[in-house]
Amino acid sequence: MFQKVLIAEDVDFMSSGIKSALESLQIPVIEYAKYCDEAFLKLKKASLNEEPFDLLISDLSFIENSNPQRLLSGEDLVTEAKKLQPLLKTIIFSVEDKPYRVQQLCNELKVDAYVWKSIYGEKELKKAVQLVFDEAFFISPKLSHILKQKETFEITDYDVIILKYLAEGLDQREICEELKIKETKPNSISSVEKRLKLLKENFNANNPTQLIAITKDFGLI
Amino acid sequence: MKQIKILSFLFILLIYTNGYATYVQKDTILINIGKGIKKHSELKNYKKVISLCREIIRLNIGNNNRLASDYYRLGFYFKKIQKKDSTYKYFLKSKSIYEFLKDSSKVTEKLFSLAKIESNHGLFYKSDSTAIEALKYQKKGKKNSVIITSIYNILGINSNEQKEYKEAIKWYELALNSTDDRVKKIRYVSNMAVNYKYLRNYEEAILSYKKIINNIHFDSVPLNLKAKVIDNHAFINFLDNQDVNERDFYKAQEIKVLINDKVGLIANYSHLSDFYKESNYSKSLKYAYKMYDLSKKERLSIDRIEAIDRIIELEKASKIREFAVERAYLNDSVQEAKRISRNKLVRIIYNFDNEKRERLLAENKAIQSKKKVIQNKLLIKEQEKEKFIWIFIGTGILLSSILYFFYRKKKEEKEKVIEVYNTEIRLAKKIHDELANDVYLAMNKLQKENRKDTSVLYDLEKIYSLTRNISHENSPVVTGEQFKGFLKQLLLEFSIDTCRVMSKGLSEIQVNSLSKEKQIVMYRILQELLVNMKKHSKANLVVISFSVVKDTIQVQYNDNGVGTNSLEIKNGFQNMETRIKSIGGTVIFESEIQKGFQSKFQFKK
Repeated sequence: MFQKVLIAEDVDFMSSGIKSALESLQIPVIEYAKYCDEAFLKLKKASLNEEPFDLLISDLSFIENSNPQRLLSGEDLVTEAKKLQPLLKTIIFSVEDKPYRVQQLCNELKVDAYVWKSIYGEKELKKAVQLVFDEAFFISPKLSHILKQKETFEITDYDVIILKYLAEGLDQREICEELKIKETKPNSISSVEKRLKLLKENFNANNPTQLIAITKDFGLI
Repeated sequence: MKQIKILSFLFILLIYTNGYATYVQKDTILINIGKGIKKHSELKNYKKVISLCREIIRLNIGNNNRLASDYYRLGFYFKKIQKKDSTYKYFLKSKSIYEFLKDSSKVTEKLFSLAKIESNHGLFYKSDSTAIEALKYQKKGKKNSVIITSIYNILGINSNEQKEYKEAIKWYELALNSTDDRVKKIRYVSNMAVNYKYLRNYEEAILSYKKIINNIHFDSVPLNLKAKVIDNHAFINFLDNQDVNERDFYKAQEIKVLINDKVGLIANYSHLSDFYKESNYSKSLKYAYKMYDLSKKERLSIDRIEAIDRIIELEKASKIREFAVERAYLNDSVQEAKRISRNKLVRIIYNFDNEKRERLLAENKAIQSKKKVIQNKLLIKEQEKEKFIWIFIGTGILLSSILYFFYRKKKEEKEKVIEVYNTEIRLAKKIHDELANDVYLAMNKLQKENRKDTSVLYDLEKIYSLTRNISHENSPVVTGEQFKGFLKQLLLEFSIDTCRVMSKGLSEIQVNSLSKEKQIVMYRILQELLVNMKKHSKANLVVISFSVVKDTIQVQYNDNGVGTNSLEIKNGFQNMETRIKSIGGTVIFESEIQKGFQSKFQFKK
């Protein structure tokens, strides 16, 4: 198990659930910092004394301090900590569930776990620490969809063209021919078919007629 | 050959005479008139001289140099026939022409002559100011000590006449020091002595006279001055109760008779009358009568009054009445004469000033109209140029103030957007950091208590998720180059299994290059639309189309939800309107029950 853990958390960490979670994991050294700058100094000091921390558990948002801080957020702290100590494991433990931020942390900053503070927070944190120690990644199940999300479906001009032809009563083969005449690509039957299928899915349409009706309602054609 | 030479000479002469005939003719006439003036003035035929002078003036009109001296000459001959007012008038004209010619020394001379006439007419104040003006002019031009001395003398006389004896002495002293002329020096000392007499400073007066008499040049001074000095010296000795040589009076009298100095004689008689007043009654009365007779003969009214005063004092009562009546009459006529003479001159001065003013006015008008005609084109051009410049400046100011106004407005709007945004994120952070965390801690506590009833815990969780939502709706907007990704993320957030959010044309409108404020507004409006959609619409499809028309970005939001009535729209979307207005854009909402919800907003890039 981890031997030395640093917690960056501005709320009372005793009652935050972190403490009891870690205690149950029997981690010998647990240090605590209220601000990012303070946390970073502790990391640095330990690193210089050749007794580095194994794990950083950090919140994202911190109450403003009267002294201006250099590092203002969990993102800042994680970035700096990884520069100082590339092999340091990092877990985010936060109330933040905004997809963009979660994605940034998981995909860009490569944190090892993202635990959302919820009624399952303590349990999840325990699980996360265990998994991270085993070199695995963890994200709270409630947020896991964020990382799975693809892009939104974007309707293209090409879609509008084939929808228009469809509305004019052309079948897929005729649409392909029209596209070829207009030198619009792709114009193979398979690609038109594929695209129409995707459109039907996205617009919840069961057949081409319904698709035309719906897209007309939306003013696309 | 010789004949040709003579012929050509004659020819040239002919041309010369023809070409300059008029010129020569005029010159000859002027010369002839000049000769006439000289001849007649020698004959003392001044009236003829004056008419000749007038003729010259007529011929010289337009030649200011000549006119200035011509007018002076005319004035000079009027003086000869005692027409002082006319003299004054022409001197004044002469002076103003010299003034125009900027001939300072001539102006000084003429001013002095004028001051002298003014003084003679009892206009002492006017004379003083004229004399002072002359001194000022003298400073500008070449020094002419003779004139300066004379001006000081006039100022001395004026002071004396105004009974400012001390002042008079000062002026005479200045005159005395400004001249090397022995006779003049003696005259000024004598004048000073007279003023000392009036000041009853007999000692100084006697000293002055002694200085004159002991002067080695005293014998060579003009007889009238010599007689005056002797006479006055004796009289002042008498006034100072000093030993008086009676014969001095008679010596002076002799000289005065000799040179026919009537005024001097009257003074002499008055002195003798006073001298004998105590010691010899009949002699005193005799000289009083002599004084009276002479002054009457010479029409010197003031002296005559003084003589009558003496007679009244000495004569028997029976004769006094007659003299008293005469005196009263004389006094009146003297005052009247003084007044008339003064008024005459004043009128001339006044008229001249008026004439001058009118003439100047007329001249100015003429010059201006002439200038106008000549410079008309130039003026118009200049005016157009000026007009253009003014228009340019005016338009410039107008434009820059309009620009400044819009700049200010824009800046204010920009600041407003940022301010609203800052407030939002500050609140979001507060909710996030404080409220959400506290709720979380409360949930933790409850959990640890291991209650059987978990409903409170789930209520708390509901509150927790509400705070999350509020925080989300107001959390910071990632702007700049990452904005497009951030915006897509927003659409993705609301794209859940039961509702699909689709976009069209987002890639075509370069949202990343928009300004920070516009990105924020765009994000917030879409966010609010989507939040509303999620809360109320029950829609399962949302299409957001982005397009750019010219330089305007248009965003069309459509959903297939239950819609709402238009009244609710107004109340619910005030916030969005405020936001879009802050970046100068517009927003419209359209909805009908069961027909979905549409909104379109647009703003300049």
